[in-house]
Amino acid sequence: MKEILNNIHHYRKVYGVILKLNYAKMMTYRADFISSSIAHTIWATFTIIQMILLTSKTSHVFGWSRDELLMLAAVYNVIFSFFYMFFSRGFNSISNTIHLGRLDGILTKPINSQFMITCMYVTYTHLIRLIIGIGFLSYLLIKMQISVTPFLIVGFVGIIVLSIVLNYSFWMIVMTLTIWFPKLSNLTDLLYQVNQVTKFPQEMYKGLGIYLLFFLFPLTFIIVSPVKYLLHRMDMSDFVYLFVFAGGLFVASRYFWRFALRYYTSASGS
Amino acid sequence: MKKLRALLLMEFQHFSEYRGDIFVYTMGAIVIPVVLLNVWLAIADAKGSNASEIQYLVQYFVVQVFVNVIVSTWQATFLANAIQRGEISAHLLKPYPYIMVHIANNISEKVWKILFSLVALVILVAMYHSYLTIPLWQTILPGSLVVLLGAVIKFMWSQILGMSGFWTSNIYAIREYNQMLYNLISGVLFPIKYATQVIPAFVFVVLPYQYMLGFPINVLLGKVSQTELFQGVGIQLIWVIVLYIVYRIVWQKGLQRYGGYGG
Repeated sequence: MKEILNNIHHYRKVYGVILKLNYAKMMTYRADFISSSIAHTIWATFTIIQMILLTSKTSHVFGWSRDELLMLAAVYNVIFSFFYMFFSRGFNSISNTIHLGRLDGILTKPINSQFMITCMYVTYTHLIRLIIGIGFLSYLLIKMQISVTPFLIVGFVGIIVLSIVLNYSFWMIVMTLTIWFPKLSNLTDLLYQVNQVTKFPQEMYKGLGIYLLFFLFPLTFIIVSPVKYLLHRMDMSDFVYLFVFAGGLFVASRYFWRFALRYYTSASGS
Repeated sequence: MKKLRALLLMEFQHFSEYRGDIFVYTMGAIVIPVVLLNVWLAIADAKGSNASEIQYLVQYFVVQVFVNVIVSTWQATFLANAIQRGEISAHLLKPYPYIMVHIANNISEKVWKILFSLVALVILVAMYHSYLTIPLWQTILPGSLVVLLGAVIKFMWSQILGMSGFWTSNIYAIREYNQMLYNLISGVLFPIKYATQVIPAFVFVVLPYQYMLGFPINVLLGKVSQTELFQGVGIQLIWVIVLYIVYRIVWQKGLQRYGGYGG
C-alpha cells in the first residue's frame, strides 16, 4: 500500500513538472497560442453547426430528438477537448519518437514508458473548446429542463473518465503498431477521423455491416453513454459495456505496449 | 515537360517509400463519407424519404469517396513551413518554377491515393451495389472535365493559402478556418441541394468550394442539366483564371518579403 502511495506521489510530482514545462512553452510562443485557440474555437463551433445542419429537416432520428442530438455534439466537444488537451500531442509524437530512436531516452528513465510517451505534452489551447462545450451543454440542460444535482455531476464526470480511458486505450493500441511500422507518421490523422464516428447514435451504423461495426462498436459508447446518463436513459447494460470496453482495452493496451517493446530496435528502428 | 517528368518520377519514388502513410491518409479520407452516408440514411429513414432520394444519397457519398481523393491537396502546410524555414531558397535557383514541385508532388501522391481508394470503392460498391445504377457512360466525359477543373481550383486555392506563410509564422488558424468552410460548403457534409436550404445562397456564389467537389459529383451522377453544366464549367474556368492571377500577385509580393533564413 505504501509503495502504491509512493508511486502516486512520484507520478503526481512528475506530472506537475510536465504541466509547468508545457505552460512555459505555451507562454514562449504566444502567437501560436492565439492561432491555435482560434482554430479550436472554429472546430468546436463546427461540431455544433454540423449537427444543427444535419438535424435541420427532422425532429427525431431513431428516437433521438434534435436537442438530444445537439447534446451529443456538446459532449463530444467536452470529452475530446479534454482528450486532445492531455493526450493527443503525445500520441502524435509517438511515431517520430520511435522512428528517430528517441524512445531509448524514455525507456532508460525510472518511469513508466507508456505514461511518459503519452502524457509528455499538454496543449492548453484546447481549454477554449472545453469552455464552449460546457457552455453549450449547460444551455441545452436548461432548455431541456434537466435538473442538475451534485449526484448527476459526479456520475457524469465518472462516466466521462471511463469514456476517455476507452478512447485513450483505443489510440494506444493503434499507435503501438508504430513500433513495427515506424514510418506510419500519420496514424493519428486516421484516429482523428475515426473519432467522428462517436458523435452519432449507435443505431445509425446498422447499415455498415457486421465486420466494420465490430471495430467501431466500442467507440460508439464514448459520447452516447454520458449523454444517455444526462438524459436518465442509461441502463445497466450501457454501463457494463462502457466499463468492460474501457477496462478491457486499457489492460490490453498495457500488455500490447509491453509486448511491442520487445521488438523495438532503437535508433531509426525501421 | 522533361523537368516536370523528372520531378514526377522523383516524387513518385518518394511516395512509394511512404506508401503506408498514403494508405492511412486515404483511409482517413474515406471514413467521413462512409459515416455521413449512414447518418444521412438514418435521417432519410426518419423523414420517410422516398427510394429515389435514398438512392441519390448513396450514389452521392460513394462517388464522393473517389472525387474527394482526386481533388485532394495537402501542400498548404508544407509550403508555409518551407517558407518559414527558408527551404524554398534552393528551389528559387533551379530552372523551373517552384510551383512545379508542388504539381509533381500532388500528382504523384494522387496516383497512390487513387490506387488505394479503388480498394475502398470496391468494398462500397459491394455493400451498396443495388443503389448504384449510375449512367456513367453518359457522364464520364463531362464528369472527368469538371473533376479535373475542381482539382485545379483546389490546388491553386491551397497554394495561395500556403503562401500566406510569407506574412504569418503560423497558418494553422487560416488552414482550419478554410477546412471548416470547405466541409460546410463544398458538399462534403451534405449534397449541395440540401446545403442551400440552410446556408444562404450567396455563400455558394462568392466562394469556390462547391466547384471543387459538390458540382463535379452531381455532374458525374447526371443530376445537372446541360445549361447548368455549361454555366458550371464557365464558373470553374473563371475561378481557375482568377486564382492563377491571385497566385501570381501573391507570389511576387511574397518573394519581396521573403528573407530566405530559417526559423
